Amino acid sequence: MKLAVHKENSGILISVSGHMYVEDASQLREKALEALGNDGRNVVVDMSGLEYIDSSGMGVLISIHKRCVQRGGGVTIRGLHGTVQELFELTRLTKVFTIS
Amino acid sequence: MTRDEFRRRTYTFDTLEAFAPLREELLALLNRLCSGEGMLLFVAVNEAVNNALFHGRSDGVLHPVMLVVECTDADVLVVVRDQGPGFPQNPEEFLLHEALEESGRGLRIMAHCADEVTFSAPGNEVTLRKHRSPR
Repeated sequence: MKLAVHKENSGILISVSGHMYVEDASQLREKALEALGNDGRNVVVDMSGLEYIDSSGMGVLISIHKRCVQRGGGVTIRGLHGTVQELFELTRLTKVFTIS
Repeated sequence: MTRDEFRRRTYTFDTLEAFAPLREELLALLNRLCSGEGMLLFVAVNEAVNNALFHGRSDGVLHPVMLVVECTDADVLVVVRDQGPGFPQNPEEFLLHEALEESGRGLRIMAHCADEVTFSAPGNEVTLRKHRSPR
């Protein structure tokens, strides 16, 4: 998996591509929480290059979302497609995150 | 080896690090055996392997996990077996998780991606079946 985290004025932008397996999910959690710091509250995750995510990656996204919601923000997912979109719809994550 | 010549392959591993390098080979094999449906079966298999690696410990030790890919004229079967205690509850109860829970989606994903999912009585062996599409 390729992972890039950029801090922006309104929050952080995370770009993920390739296949996200359980070991990659741990890396995502670590990098995202580090970038959010003590007061970050909005995260955009660009999944346009992501071909696969397993349930551990979904769990990490939920934990990041919960952290953001506690601070009055949330996680927005963009570029959802293919197998990843099918899995998000199946597990109702499309109802949890803002999808753009 | 053609699709029709393949019958069975066994993988054994006892850590995530040992399984990780096998994923690409496994995905390629399933894509070859299940035309157009290999990725879906792979998604189910990866969830089963994660469960085995993270919940299949016996006395605190993870013994080797066995993964068998078997092909018949009609189906591709993947068996994932660990040596742990199995499920503490009925596997179907895991299908009722809440959307905001951080874990518990694996069985729902397996049930969606495979045509049939069966568990051994204690729950430490799962068999995923995918019907082979005609060429």
